Amino acid sequence: MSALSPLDVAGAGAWRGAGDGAAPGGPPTRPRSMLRSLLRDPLGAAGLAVLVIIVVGCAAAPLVAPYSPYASAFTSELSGPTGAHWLGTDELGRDILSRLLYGGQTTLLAAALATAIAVVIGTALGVLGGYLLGLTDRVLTLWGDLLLTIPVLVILIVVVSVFPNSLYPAMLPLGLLLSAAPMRVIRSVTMGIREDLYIDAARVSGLSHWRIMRRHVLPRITGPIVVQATLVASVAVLLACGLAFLGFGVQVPAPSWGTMVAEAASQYQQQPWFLVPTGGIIALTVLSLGLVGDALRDAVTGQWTGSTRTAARYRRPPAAAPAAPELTEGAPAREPGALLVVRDLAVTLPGPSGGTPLVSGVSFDLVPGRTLAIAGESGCGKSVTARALLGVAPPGGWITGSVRLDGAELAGAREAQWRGVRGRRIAFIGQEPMAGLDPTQTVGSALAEVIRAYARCGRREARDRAIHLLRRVSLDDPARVARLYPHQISGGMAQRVTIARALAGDPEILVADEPTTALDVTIQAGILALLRSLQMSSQIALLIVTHDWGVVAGLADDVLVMYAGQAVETAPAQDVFGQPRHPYTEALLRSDPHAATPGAALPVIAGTVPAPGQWPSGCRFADRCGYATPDCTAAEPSLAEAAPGHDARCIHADRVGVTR
Amino acid sequence: MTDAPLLEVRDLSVDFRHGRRAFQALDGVSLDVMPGETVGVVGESGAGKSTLGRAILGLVPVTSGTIRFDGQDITRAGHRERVAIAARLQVVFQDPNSSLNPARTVGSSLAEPLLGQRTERAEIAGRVAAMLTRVGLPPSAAGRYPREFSGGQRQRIAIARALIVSPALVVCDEALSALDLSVQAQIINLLLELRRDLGLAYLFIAHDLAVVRHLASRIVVLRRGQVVERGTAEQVCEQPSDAYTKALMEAAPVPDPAEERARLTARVTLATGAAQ
Amino acid sequence: MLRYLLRRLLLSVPLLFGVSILTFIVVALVPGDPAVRILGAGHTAAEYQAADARLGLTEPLLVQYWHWLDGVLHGSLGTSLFTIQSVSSTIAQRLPVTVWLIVGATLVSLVAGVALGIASAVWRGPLGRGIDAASWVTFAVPNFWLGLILIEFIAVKAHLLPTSGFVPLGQSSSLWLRSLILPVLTLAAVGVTGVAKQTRDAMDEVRSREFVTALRMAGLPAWTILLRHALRNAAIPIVTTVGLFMIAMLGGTILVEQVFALPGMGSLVVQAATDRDLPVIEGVVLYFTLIVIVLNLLVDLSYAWLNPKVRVAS
Repeated sequence: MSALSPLDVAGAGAWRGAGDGAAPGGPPTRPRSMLRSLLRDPLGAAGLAVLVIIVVGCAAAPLVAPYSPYASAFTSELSGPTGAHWLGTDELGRDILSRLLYGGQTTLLAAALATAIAVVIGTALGVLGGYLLGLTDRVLTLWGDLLLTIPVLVILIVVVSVFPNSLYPAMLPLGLLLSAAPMRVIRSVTMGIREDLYIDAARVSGLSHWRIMRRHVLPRITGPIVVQATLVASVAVLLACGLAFLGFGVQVPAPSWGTMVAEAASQYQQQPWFLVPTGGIIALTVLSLGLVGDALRDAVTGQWTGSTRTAARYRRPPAAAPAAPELTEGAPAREPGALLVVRDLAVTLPGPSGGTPLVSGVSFDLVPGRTLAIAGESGCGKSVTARALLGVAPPGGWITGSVRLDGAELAGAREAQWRGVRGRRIAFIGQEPMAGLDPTQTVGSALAEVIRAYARCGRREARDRAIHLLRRVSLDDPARVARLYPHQISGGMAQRVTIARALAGDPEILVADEPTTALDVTIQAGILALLRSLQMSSQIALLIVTHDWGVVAGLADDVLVMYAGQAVETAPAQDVFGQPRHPYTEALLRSDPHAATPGAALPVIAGTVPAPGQWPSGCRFADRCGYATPDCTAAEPSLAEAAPGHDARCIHADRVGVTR
Repeated sequence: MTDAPLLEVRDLSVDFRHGRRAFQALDGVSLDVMPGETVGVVGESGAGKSTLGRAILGLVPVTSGTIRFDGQDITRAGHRERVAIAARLQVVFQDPNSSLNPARTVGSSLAEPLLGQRTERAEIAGRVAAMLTRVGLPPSAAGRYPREFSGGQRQRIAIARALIVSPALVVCDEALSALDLSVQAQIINLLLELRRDLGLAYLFIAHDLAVVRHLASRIVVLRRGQVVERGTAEQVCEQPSDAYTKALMEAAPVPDPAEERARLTARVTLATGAAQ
Repeated sequence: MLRYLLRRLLLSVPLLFGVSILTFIVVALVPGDPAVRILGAGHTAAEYQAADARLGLTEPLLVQYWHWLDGVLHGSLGTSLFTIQSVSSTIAQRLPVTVWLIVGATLVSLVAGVALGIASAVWRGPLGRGIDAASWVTFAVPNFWLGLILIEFIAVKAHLLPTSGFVPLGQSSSLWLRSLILPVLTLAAVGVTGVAKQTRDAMDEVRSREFVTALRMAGLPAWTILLRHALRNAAIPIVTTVGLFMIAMLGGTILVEQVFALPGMGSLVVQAATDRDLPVIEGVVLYFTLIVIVLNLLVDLSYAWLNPKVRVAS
């Protein structure tokens, strides 16, 4: 029962972890696969169908149209839809349907011409600028900016007045002017590709620029090119019709969509219906182009669709009662003086058979003045666990179990209740220091904002408190730093600011999720020392999530090791390093190069970590474990005491490390 | 082993210009790599380690200084020369996600260095399969896409791509930094094995001192584009002479509770002492 | 930042030159003799020749351009070939209408679009899908057709607003407003939905960023985060979109003024193009380009204001 918030957005975002994990699929690049993804989208398929019908109908007008576009019948002027004239007749008795079909030829051909020119020029220049960069790119960007400044319709009108009887000459400058937009898009896509390391690898392998462009760049831009083409075509159709409406470029009595709208307008009193098919065909054509473009864009951008789709398909099971907070089987005994008591914490995502658990059955206590480290590798669920302590679950997911703060049950609380806890009693600092700060807000203002959110105080007082906080995290010249924006400070400083913000509400618990992973080693040492000294001075209970055993060694009083969503070992830090009781912990510590002889092969754990939803039954580590026996896969082991104060989820805990 | 160094970098300087501002990424860096040797380059962010690697690989232009490879001056090598160098000098990058084109099959990515060398088409498939087996992956992987593999497996593929032309020197640019501890151990073993079997030299660029210590026989320490210390791995790690290197060694956490706790307490006392 | 803006301004000067030269050349290529148009048919060749000479049309192209340029640099845009009125005064009469249209449409697009966008970002589901659908429909429907439909249903059938014509502000403010409502709505239709869609997309993107989660973890109320933090960060792509729509609307005014018979720059250029009235065409093109340049500068200014990285050097 996780609290829902308007801030929850379906998408990977902050939940993407580093390290081992299958990346989302690459976008379709071949025409056939593009077509396939297009047809899979119902709107896209409908758009494509309508577009094809219109284009084919107009192209085959001599064969398909029931009448000649010039055949007037003075007996049935301005009739509405009838059996003989499906779309009615105009003021000279000519069949509207036939005139639309013939008129489409001019309009669509003109638009196609402009689109072709725009796309070819735009793609060529965009690729050149985006790949070669430097001076070429600057000149081309300038050129694009210039093009975009020219008022399109005005120039077109001027050009078309030179060649009054045809739209086509105006399509050349139109194509040129419209090339600016695809050029920009293709350029930025190319620049993105250019930064990918496989381009560098290809250069190191001695491939020429042309070869690289053909092999790597062009296939990736076919998608965006087609999308841009639909956009440009839409604008071209609208502009061509606009010109014709104004009376330019078409010679009466030749039919054209734009002129027919003008005719309909003048005949409005007598036959209002006339406006409908004439405007409608334009709208339908542009709409279908747009739907095709939209569908392709979704396919080509390769969005992370995982959570949205499953969230839609599976609904949360009806709220079950939270697990009883008394001792469940195998849970560690309650620590004396524990401030936060967590029992059987589970975080689940929507999925088949009640959901896909990311974390299950995690229990621990947090004691003021002591540090608990949650250690493990990517995908073990440590970050998810840490965030769950603040009531934040991954998008679509929910939290079950018991989280008691000073005796009060938090799990199942509503968002409003959680807000009273966050920052004020439990504070959080994340991994990326810079990313955690609003780039449009100065450091001082960010701090003052949270200060005023927690306690009623005036602006001046909040500023003073902010500066005091900055001093507390050992930042030199705090008054100056307060006036800076995040992009003006270093990573280490930004992390200190984040810590300052976390301290603003005077919390009792601080949850730190990989706080130093993104920092240099010398900066890291400073941040860890800071956390330690803060803890010593305010007796904060610190929960630190990390994959670095050196950080665990320095900071942790107690350690909880996680593997595949479960706690597999909990013990005081000394005991975990000295005598690990779970085969995974032992193997992990041994594969650390710190412990090994230089140049020698390291003892490794064979295989890979199972992903959530694919956890094996029984012991989740059994298939990679050197101590495994058939009993291990029979039933899931519970967290049992292996030594005083030392629990391990392994039936062979007594054998671990004995051979050393 | 011959006496001549495989790679000789002398007084290398690289400046980046951004409009009017110039930023000096490398300032007079020199180092050697002998055939079959592993030289580690360590430093923190902004030290210039990646720039050094990229300059050697010809990916960034050199402002001054020389780079000699196989006895030849390659500092400003043209396209033709780069093709020849590509047979002997290769690279493994850090990010297993972006070092392989997601739209191409693994086999196609592996074939690329061979294409650069104008290898016969008939030969390519066989060499791809052999290389995949060598790095511990099934030959059927050639027909699959990078997204079907884990980060560690993708790094193996990147290594396979680097080795498919049987180079003499491989530049490893933070090749292990994005991997978990257990996966890292697997890849370290693979690199050791390949070094032993193929007589490879590595220029190993990393910020993780423990890993570099494990793999390298000599280490160069960079700081803000300059070499501040060089020596055997043992010397640099255990008896550093430069103040910065000492600070680096002291700051890097070790998985030994007693040691780390003592360091932390010392740092805290220092900090609170300084504040007062 | 100042240097950045100055550079943009400086680059605009050659652009104005370029566009004016281009227009000059194009119109000069026009077949047919303006003198014929002015004097009407049935005059002798000599009379047409004399008229051309009086209008300065017999001189070589470069000289004609130089005369015009010289005039511009002295603040004069020349005289219309047809109405004897100075181009500057004609434009001065017509400019306010077009400006009101653009200002009105921009305001409507911005306010309604952003509000709708935020609403659909927060309350997902039918509202979001509705906006997607509406944005494509308003884009696909030609604005001149939309104007006609609006006239029919609101002006003619319901008699709520005038069908056409413009009442200057000085004359009557309420009539002025009423004469502008339908044209502005027609022009803004595509802008509202486009801005709404972009706002929604930008808000979604910002909401998935780490600092939004961090602020939520710090216990700040959701609406504060949404409006004070997310919106500020989403503002840049939104402003970009508004800027693009403003420039597109400039072309749209030409069609809307025709439909609603508004005496603006758009209808002026249509008339001038039909008449091959070169000085007027040149003048209008110059002004349109100037307006685009000003709009771009406004957008750039707002970038600088919104984005601290541009405002404060790192």
